[in-house]
Amino acid sequence: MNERLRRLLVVVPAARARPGISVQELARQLDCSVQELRQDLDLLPLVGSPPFCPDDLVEIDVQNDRVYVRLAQSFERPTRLSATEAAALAAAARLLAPGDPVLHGAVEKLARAVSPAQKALYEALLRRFAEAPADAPEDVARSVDRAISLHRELEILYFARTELAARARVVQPRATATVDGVRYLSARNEAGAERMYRLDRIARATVRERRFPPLPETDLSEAARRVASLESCTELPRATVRFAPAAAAAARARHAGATALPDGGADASVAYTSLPWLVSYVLSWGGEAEIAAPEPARRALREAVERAMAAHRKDEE
Amino acid sequence: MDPTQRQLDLLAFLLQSRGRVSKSAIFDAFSDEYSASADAAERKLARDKTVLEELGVPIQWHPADDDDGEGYRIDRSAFYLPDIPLTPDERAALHAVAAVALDTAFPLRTELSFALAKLRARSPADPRPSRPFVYARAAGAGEVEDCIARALADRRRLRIRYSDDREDRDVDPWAFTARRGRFAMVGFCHRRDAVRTFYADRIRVCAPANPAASGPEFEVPADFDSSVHLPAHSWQLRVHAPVEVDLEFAPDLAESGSRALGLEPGSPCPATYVEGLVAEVLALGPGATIRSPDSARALLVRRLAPLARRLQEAP
Repeated sequence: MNERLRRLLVVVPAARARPGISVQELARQLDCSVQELRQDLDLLPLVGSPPFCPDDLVEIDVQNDRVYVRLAQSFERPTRLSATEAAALAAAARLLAPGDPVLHGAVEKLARAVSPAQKALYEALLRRFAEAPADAPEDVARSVDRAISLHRELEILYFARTELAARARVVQPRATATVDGVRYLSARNEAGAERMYRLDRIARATVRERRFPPLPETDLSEAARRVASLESCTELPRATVRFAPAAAAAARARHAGATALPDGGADASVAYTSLPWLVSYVLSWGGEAEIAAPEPARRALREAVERAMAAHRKDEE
Repeated sequence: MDPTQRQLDLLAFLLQSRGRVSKSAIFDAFSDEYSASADAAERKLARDKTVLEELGVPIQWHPADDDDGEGYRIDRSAFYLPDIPLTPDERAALHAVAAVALDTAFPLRTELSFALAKLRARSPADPRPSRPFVYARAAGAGEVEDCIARALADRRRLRIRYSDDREDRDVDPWAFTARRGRFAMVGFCHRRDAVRTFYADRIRVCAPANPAASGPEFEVPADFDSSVHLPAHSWQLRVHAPVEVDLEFAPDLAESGSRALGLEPGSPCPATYVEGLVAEVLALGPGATIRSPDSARALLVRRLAPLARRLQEAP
């Protein structure tokens, strides 16, 4: 495929949609270098249809590094999406935010924008960029979305892994955010604090009649970034988690700074928000991980392991 | 003349013509470009037409009829991007998730950029959504993910070095998906002669197996379902025949415990990978236990016994 020709067909409508767009911004939008774009902007004024009089040519000017389209010569509107362009958008939605109902609706509509000749290819690609099954129960996700749009309080039964316990809370929902493929509810709790609740840990969600006044603005993107970067947070305490050889490869993939051990295992420095969370995390490796330090955390793990073994042995008797 | 310029000129000419455009009309209009012998001109036009068709330009040839003579025509409605009735929320969400994808080196980056640029050009106005749409990603993707996505789109076989493997293996990528932010490929592994799941962050080397091959190298079976190979819960992995496992939860976990495992409260777990269920139960803490069968309880004890011994010793 002639990639330059493909880009040239987007340059004119993209520049026309934002008169005076800077060369740098246009290059960023088209994922090309400024130099490549300048070459395109040099070529386009030579393009047109016979007899190639001035009025038959594309008129596109660059003034002070800003782009203006005066005559588009049938290139004023963008072309339909190719199968891979539409599939790339759909893949981003499906893989980065699985289970997001708004994106789901958007992806369904994208099919209409695909070139008819490429629709079959788009459908095939869409099947190959597969959406993972949603973690959160459907009824919970529906109630959360409803409470947000209606500005109504939401009663949730939430399992906090930091406490290894579930309890009911009434929250004022603000929005949802998806961090690393996991949907969170951003809400204000009873104490007036902003919190992020994982949707897959909400066992029950009930929309209450009571409405609440508009919540003050907050930087939700920053909150999402904080959740995403918990692993590298320097303010949290850290434990050394030792992974058995069988789990080492997976541990290295999960913890970027994990170091290899002589026996084939790996050590990783893991940030934790509470001891119960750390113990739960280590046990989620099914016996293939242990806490090497600090000692209180190792002790907590030992007690949890003994308790679990006793509970299951006792049942055996 | 630069061939790209000629192809754009031809496209502009066809788009602006009201009726069908005969070959002779094209040759006359571009007499400098198609000036060689008749055969050479025909071949050059055919090449230009193919280049445009590869971009999705719907150039149709119409034989002569009562309305018009024979010639080429571009169906403008099939060429231009139509209005897509996205709601303000859908538009905001799509742009937000695409922005994260572009920031974190998501595969098919150029395609994604072009798609966004086209959508923006079609509807430049940015209506205010009803609420913010926020997506974030801790780690960026890289060359491996892009290699998988391209091979998937073109149906090309890959040669990968996975995890601690000492040898390469050839894999036909059937699906590209993600589980809690981790990209994964589900494909047919020729070494195992079976469908396997490969996490992208554990693939150390990834390249086309047959760089010289042209065209697709495999078909994806029509009944293939990637979710079977990358389920929401590890107990759903299809490792053995289903085993009905009864679970018991402390009162405060009665509802949450089941839901956390993807089960309806009170219902048993039809585990097809009991070892995965054991790990998930352990992660729920002391409020969750396996009631039956004995084999599942024994498995849990067996899994923890070596750990318990190690924890008695100094680290």
